[in-house]
Amino acid sequence: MIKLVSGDGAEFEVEEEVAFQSKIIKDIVADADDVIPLPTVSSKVLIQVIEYCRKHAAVNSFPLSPSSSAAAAASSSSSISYSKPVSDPALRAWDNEFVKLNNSSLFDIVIAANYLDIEELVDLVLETVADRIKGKQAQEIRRQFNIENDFTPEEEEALRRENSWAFQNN
Amino acid sequence: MTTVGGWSDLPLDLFSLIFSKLSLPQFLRSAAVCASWSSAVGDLSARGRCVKFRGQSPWLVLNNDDNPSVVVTFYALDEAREYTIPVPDPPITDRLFLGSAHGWIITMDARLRVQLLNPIIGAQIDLPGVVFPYEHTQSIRDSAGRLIGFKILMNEEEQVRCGYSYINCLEQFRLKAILSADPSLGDGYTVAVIQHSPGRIFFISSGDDKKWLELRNHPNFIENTAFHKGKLYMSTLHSVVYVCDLDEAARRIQHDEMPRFRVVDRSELHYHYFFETPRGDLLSIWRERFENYWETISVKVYRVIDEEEEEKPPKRLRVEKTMDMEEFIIFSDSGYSAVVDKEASMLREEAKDLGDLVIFLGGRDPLGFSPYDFPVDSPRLAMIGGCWSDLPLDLFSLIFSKLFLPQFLRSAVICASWSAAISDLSSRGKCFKFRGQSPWLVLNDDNGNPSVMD
Repeated sequence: MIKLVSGDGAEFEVEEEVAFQSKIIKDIVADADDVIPLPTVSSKVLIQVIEYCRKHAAVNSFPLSPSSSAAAAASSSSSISYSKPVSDPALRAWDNEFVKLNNSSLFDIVIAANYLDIEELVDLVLETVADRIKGKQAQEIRRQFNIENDFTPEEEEALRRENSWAFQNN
Repeated sequence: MTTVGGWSDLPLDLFSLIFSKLSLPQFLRSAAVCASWSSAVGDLSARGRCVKFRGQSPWLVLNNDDNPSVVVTFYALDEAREYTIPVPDPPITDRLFLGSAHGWIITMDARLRVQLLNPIIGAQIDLPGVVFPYEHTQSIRDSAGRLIGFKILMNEEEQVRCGYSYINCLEQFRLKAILSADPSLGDGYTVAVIQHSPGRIFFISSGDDKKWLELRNHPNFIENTAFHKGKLYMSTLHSVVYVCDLDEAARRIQHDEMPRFRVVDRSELHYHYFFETPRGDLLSIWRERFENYWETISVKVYRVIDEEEEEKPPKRLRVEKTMDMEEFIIFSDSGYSAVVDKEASMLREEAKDLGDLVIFLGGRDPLGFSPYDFPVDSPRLAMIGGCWSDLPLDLFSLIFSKLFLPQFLRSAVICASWSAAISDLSSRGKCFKFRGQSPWLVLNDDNGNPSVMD
C-alpha cells in the first residue's frame, strides 16, 4: 500500500497499481518510500483523482494497460495500432460520467493530473473542455470558463480581422 | 484551490492539448477569448510543425457559379457550416482541382500552370506549366487565351478533344496530383502530376522548380500513386508496386540516365490502393473482386517496408542486364520500357490487425478514420467501391453523417463534384443526421448500383 498525503493533510491509502496510474508516483516509489506528500493537491481533488485511478487500474490490470499495449504494438511488427487510450466501451461510459463536472472542478483535476503525470486523465479532461469550446463564440467561451475579457475593443477587432473568415457568422 | 480565471492561465502544453482537439477555425477563434489564449494560439501557430492537430475534419469545396471567383467556399463536415476564404489569382473557378494533401490544394489553371494553394494561411506557390498531355498536342484557345480544347495528332489524323469548358476538357485526361510534404515547413517537397491510363508522371521539387521533369521509362499502366517518406510509390494494373526515389531520379534524368524503380510489393489481386496511416506506415491494400460481378471477395492489407539498400552502391541502369537487376519490358504505345531492380528489395508483411483504424476504399484514394471518432466495431475495413463522385444521394448522406465525427484527418478532402450532393443535403438542413449504427459494409459496383450490407 502507498500513502498519499493531500495538501490539507488528509491521508489516503491506495494499492500500488492504483497509485501507479501516476507516472510521477511510480518514479518516486521506485527510489524512495511509500508515503508521498502532494502539497499542491487538495483532498477534494485527490479523492476524485484516486477514484479515477482505481477504476482504470481495475480495468487495465488485465490484460495490459493501454499505454503499455500501445508500446508493445509499436515494437511488434505484425500489429498496427493507433492507440487511443480508452477502447473499452464500458470504461469510456464511466469516463464520460466522471467528467460531468463544472469547469472549475475540471480545472483542478487537470492541473493535479498534469502534476501527477496521469496522461489519460489529462487527455480525458481536456477532451471534455475542447467539446465545451466547440461551436462557441469568444463571448460564450469567456462566460463558460469564467475568463475575463482583457482586450481593448480595438485589440479584439484587430484579432478578428486577422482571420476574418473563421469568424463569419453562418 | 480554484483560482478565478484559472482557465485563462494554463501551462502551454495543456493549451496545446486542448487546442489540438479543436477544429482549425475554432482554434483561430479561440484567440479572441482573452490575452493569454491569444498568445497561446499565436505561440502554437508559430511552432505549427510541432503541434499535431487532430481537429481537422475533411472540408469539401463547394462549387461557385460560373462567375470568376476570388473566394473559395468550403463546407466543414464537423461543424456543418460553410467558410468562404479569399484566394489569390487566378480565379478559383478557372482552375481544375488535381488533389490535396498536407492542407494544400493542388490546382491547374487554363494555361496548364499548377498552383499549390493553402487557403488557411492565404499562401499560394505558383509552379510552371506542365508540358501536357503529349508533345504533339496543341491546345486550342479562344480569343481571350483560354483553353477550350486540345488538338491531338494521331496517325496523321487530327483528333480534337473539347469540352464545354476547358475544365471539362482537362478532366478527360484523368489528371491527379500528389504532394510529398507540407510546403509551409520550407523546402523539401515534391509535386507529382499523374495522367492516368496508360500513365505519365511529371514531377517538380522545391528548390529546383524551374521546370517539370517527366519520369520516363516507368512501369506502365499506373493504377495508383502515393508519396511516402519522400519517395514515390506506384502500383500498376499488373498488380506490382514500385518505389522510386525522385531526388535520385531527377539527378539521373539530368545526366540522361534512366531512373530506377524497385519492386516492393506484388500480388495476384487486381485493385490496389495506398494508404498512409497517421503513424506514418504505408499500407499496400489489395482488393480482390470477381471480374464479372464486381463483388469484393477479399481485401489484403500489407505494410510496405522499403529498406534502403545502403550496402548496395547505386548502379547505373543500362539496357543490358546486370547481376542484381532485371529488366521489365512492357509494351506501350509510347514505346517506353520500364527498367526495375529485381525483387530482392521486396519486403512486406501482412498487417494482422489494422488497430484503431477504419479505411474507406474509394475510387482512387482511400480515406482513413479513427474508430474512436467513428464507431465501427467490425469489420475493421469498410469499403466503398467505384467512384466517390458517383454515389447516390442517400449514400452520400450516410457517409457525410459518418464524417461528422472524424477528428484526426488533417488534410482537406477536396472534390468539386460532391458539391451538388452537399448543397442538396445542406438545403435539407439537419435532417440527414444519423445515429450510430451497427457494422456495415458498403459495396458498390461500377455501374453505380450500390448495396449496403449489415
